[in-house]
Amino acid sequence: MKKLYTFLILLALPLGMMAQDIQHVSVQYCFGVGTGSTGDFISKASFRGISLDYKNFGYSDKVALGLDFGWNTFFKKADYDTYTSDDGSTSISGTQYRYLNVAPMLATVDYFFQSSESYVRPFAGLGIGTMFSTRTVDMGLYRFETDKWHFAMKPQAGIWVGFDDATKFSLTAEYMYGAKTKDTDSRQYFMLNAGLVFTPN
Amino acid sequence: MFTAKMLRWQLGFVLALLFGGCYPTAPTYVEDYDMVLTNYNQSFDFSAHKTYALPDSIIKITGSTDLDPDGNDEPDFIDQDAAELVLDQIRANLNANGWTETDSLTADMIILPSVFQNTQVVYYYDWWYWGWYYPGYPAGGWGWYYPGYAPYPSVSSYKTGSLLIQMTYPDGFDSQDNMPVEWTCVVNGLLEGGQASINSRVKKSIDQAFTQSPYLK
Repeated sequence: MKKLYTFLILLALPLGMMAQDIQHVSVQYCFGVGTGSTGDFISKASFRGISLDYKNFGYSDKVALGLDFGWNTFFKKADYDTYTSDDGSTSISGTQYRYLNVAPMLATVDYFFQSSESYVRPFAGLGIGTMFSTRTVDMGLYRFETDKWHFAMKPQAGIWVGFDDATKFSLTAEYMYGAKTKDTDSRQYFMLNAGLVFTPN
Repeated sequence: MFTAKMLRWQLGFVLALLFGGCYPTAPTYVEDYDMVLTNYNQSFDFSAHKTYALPDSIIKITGSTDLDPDGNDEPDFIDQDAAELVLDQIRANLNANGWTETDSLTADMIILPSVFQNTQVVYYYDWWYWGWYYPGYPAGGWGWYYPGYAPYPSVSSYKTGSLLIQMTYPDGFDSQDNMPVEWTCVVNGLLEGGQASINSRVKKSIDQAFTQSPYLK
């Protein structure tokens, strides 16, 4: 019962003092699942990811302009198989170790449906910017690696839940899309992020 | 209030979750390193050239800049038992494909197996290594060329040692004294693990090289 009371008190915390907080920084753990060509390359989910986000409410209490930095690693061991080049002259058989490292850097704008005085603040927004990707295939003695910068964008939606006047829990879903380049496929994946938001002193 | 100390704790926690870094898992078993690459000249008619010659030894290239460090005027060779295992497997596959073994003076194709024990395969190694075997070898030395194809894929780096098998066509000598290599095979990862395992994987990998080269039939 004591725990229930504690929980209810936490839920009822008045957070009016948050109003003066303009800047917020969040650190989140990111879980990702590749889709499209990324999912074809590595179908396994990524449990290695981190994001560092900054949001500024200086323009409006409900509109945040920000910057998102992230990093995810996707990995898959593909069973022994034979791969043949498009022209048919080269065939390689072996077990592939596939890696994809992606690091998006996006400018964001988010609309918060509740004011900063609310304990729970759902939001939705967009990000646009760039993404650096490294696609690696290890096969026997060979390492095939491609590094590329992509134009990147994402829609996202999430929720902040306040702990106290300066700390919140954050849960975000986003779909990251790095456009294809002349040499590489697009990089696209769905992400679920969970972490903490704080107000720097 | 959220403090700098809490931030450090949080960052440490998240970084600990990430632990494995950019390349979280490496191959666990020796077999995972086994790889077979084949490459060939698509303009060459293998069906019209089905006699071959094989040496009775396999040269070993260590990567030393001194071609003949022991001064015996011969290259180093791999262990003869291992060489015979490789040569017998090549022979068995070619014969199964309807090829006929003959001597090096009359063969359509001369097959040159070499083992690179260091970090990478050198497709343009010194011709001197085969001077003891190849018919008509001139003192000046020759070079290799790979007609119509690049012998190696575009890669970022290499790992362990390999077996390189070059199928050469002595009648195709060009005016620059370059020897055409019509079929190239690289088998990687065979030199690690116990002997029984190595033997089994040598056979399997060489069989795979011919399986994925149906144009040799």
